[in-house]
Amino acid sequence: MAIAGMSDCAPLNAKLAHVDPGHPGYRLRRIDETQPPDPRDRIFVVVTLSGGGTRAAAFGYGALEALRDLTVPVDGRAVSLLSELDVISSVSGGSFAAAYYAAFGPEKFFSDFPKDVLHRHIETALAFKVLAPWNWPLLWSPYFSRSDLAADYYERRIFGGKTFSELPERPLIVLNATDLTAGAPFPFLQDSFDALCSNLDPFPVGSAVASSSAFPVGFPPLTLRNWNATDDCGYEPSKAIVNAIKGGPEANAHDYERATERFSFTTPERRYLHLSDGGISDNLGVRAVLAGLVSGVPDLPILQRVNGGRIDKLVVITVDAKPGVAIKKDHGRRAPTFLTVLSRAASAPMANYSTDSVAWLQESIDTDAAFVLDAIAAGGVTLPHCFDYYGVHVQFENAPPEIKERLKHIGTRLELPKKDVALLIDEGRRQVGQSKELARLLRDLKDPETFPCPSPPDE
Amino acid sequence: MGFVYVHYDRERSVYVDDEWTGFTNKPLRVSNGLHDIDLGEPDNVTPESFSKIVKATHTILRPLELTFVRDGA
Repeated sequence: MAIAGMSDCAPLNAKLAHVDPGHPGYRLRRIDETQPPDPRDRIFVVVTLSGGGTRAAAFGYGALEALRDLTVPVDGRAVSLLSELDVISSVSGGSFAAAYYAAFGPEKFFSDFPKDVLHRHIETALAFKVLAPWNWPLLWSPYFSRSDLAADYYERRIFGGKTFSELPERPLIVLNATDLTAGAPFPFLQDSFDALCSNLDPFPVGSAVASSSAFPVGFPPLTLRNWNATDDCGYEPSKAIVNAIKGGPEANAHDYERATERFSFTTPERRYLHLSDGGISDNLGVRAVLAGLVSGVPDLPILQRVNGGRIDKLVVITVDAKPGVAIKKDHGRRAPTFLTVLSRAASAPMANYSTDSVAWLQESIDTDAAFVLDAIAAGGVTLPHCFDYYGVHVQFENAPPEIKERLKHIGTRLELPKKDVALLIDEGRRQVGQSKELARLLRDLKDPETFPCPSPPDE
Repeated sequence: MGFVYVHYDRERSVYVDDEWTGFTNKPLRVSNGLHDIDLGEPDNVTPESFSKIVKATHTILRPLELTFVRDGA
């Protein structure tokens, strides 16, 4: 399907004749009072997997291994915390792990993902494809690039041609790319595709991973057709989008930007959408989760489930494979090279933005908890539905000193030495397995009367 | 994110921007910004809806308070 995209007449994404917001599609569905609570929502577990090529995929693999091995009591049964996983939101390298897990299930993920992805020489394979003379006519076309070659490779050799229609409902995977024009996150969910008058169901998972990991310069953007610009599928921007725009940036600057970007798909000028690496707009995959809690235009209606009393415990595990900074560049007086400056100019804002996102999520939760505790202290006040939050940030900074530097110097590549892969897997597994927050979750599940909600974090 | 408290003489669903958000007479978490808030069907309350800006300063103790009255009550 990616090779078919070389022609302007054969876009990657299928047209949707008529948008139906009530159609399930691949999304986290909105709920209402008529639907009985889904017991799977009670403990709502989200994992976010950052960018960083194979480094991120391996780190995420180790983290998921630890979740598999962690047993928690749920409704009187001992279950793996992995079985409670509801959402995986990923970017770039992390999207390989998320997509593979959803496409093939946990058993094959843990047995075959290392062989199929982590130890595969993806970069070498892609280089051979670019250098192969029979691909040159394709690459000479302005409508076909290295990214399309990569998408085709991932579809055939890694994801077995799987499409979104074949993915299970849970965990829902959010593969995040970046709308290059708007500089905004573009999640591969039916809500985004509704705005394009497009159907996500037949879209190949491999192409979505290629979009999410189209690192600038190395991989040109992948292009989707915005059918909404030229055809009428009955798409109407939601009232939330209309109000976010009407309220303006003064009322909520973030929602104004999100809404404006989504609304822009209705303009005739935007006939195409160019998708680049998700890390440009969110290198942790955490913005979708954050928006799910604080935004009026979320793609993940998590807050709706909180208000509806459906979520008692919210667990967010952020797996952050951010590399270290090359301090040695400051050892000499000579200024860094042009390429180094370009690289840092691209990566530094990403890293700073990611740090802010994690901090914002934690601050939002802390503020909410403070309001609830104040209300409890005041007495005689009706409380909102309260929930316990468990935030885990898996990152190289938490590694033991002797291996931290080794981890931080592992490059952003699509192939790594086996010893580096093993190191990343071990550390991802160790940090999640020894997480104090998850230990607190386990204690709270074993004895739910221990603390009133919200339970105080461990000191 | 702020808190909205919708007063009504019985329990009914509350809709924010046409999405179900919870029930009346209980603090509801709502994102900052401009929102339309109503009680959905049946359309037998006054006013029909409110259009208000929710702020982070709307806490549980001092929420944005809205009151709907049943027609004919």
